[in-house]
Amino acid sequence: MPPADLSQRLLQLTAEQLSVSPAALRPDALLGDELGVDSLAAIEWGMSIEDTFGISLPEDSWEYIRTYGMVDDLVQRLVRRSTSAQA
Amino acid sequence: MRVAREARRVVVTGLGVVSPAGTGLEAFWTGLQTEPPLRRERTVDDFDPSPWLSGKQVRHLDRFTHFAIAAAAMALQDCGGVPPVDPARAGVQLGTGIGGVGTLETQVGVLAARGPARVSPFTIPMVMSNAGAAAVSLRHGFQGPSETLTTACAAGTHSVAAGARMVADGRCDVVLAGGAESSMTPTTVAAFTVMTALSRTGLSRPFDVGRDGFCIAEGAAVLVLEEREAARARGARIYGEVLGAASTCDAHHMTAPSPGGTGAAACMRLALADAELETTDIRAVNAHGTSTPLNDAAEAAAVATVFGAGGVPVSSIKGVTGHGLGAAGALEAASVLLSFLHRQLPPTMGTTEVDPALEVDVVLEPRGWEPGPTLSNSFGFGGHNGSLVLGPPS
Repeated sequence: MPPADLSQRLLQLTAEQLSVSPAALRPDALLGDELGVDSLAAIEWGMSIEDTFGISLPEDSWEYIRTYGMVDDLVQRLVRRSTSAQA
Repeated sequence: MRVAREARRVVVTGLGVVSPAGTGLEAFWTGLQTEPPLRRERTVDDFDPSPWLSGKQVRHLDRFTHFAIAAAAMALQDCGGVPPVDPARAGVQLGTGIGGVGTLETQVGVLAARGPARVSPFTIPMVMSNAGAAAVSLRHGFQGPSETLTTACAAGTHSVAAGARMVADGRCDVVLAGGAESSMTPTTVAAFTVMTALSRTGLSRPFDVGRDGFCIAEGAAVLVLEEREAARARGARIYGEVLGAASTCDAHHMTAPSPGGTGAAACMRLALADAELETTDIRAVNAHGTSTPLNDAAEAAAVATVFGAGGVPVSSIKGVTGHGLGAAGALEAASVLLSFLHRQLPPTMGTTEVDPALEVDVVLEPRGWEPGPTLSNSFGFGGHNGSLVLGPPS
């Protein structure tokens, strides 16, 4: 999947999951303060990311991720890795 | 309420109702006089949580908590908004029979189909029986006691009583008290069915000669309880007063009432003593009246023992509402308070021929009356008995 398509799909999934406007999902949007993501919401969101993209998020992901852009980067990286592993 | 007589009297200043008979006070009261559908499972089909909850909140709260939030918000709106009290002295007593069992059942399916890593992280805070009380406290910033009593089908009555005591004994100035239930799942319906508790005909007909079980239902009711003088000082509309209450256990059998309703009779007498009233002071009984052969026989025997054969008019609203389990007692307390307002006893809908073996004056048609002290009963599996004495405003 091209990176732009992947980002678009993540954006749609996230807007739905977090009940936020897609416009709010700026790369620098803070997960907690701006997007209302608490620890449980992060786990639920992570599950749907894993299911949608067929990847596995490292268990400590939510400990260092602060912004939406960091989530997008991580998902891009994991999808690339999983695609190259399959190739 | 005996504690209250020494200290503070407790009045009801707001009501909120979600019920298959109607959501909101007008719809509910009208519904109580309307022939219900022939249906064993009485769901609140028209319930829309969107006035109170965002889509995300709806997903992260069980349906019984949606009902609790809605009923509490309507009750506060009904009393003119959150009363001006110290949040630390504002409490919640919200009972339930089985809590978020619907969520648990869904997640059992997820576990079986997709494994433990896909079970929702919201499962526990959705399933826990105190979720309703917690969500109501959170929403309104109430920082006093927030508790959930669970005594099966007596939980609503016990919660109103417990909430009233928190006001009476001076711990709280306002308490949102009631019950919420939404536990009709394939498993619970199957379980009530195999124990032959549910009606086969889908007709809830309390005290009827042909009664064949209860119709399972969902819903919630919340009462705003306040200290009487403070409520009067701010000009609050007062529906009535909590005069007394009692709680006992049959200690006889896990699901069958004690023979002759002796446990229920003892509970009613204790409630009268708590209210410092005589049996002749009681003008009406709002029965538990589930429409099961055993409950109605035991309760009728208990009422006849305490008040004499046919000694007091008896209504059960479960012909319309069905049996809302842990919400039932709160819905019935709301109906008693509305019967003061409308000066009319609600009819026992669904019932056409009162069982001749039962020595009770069952109210079959709406009956005008001079409102007076009313006893409202609830009895739960486990042998839990609860009786409330409610009085009109004075």
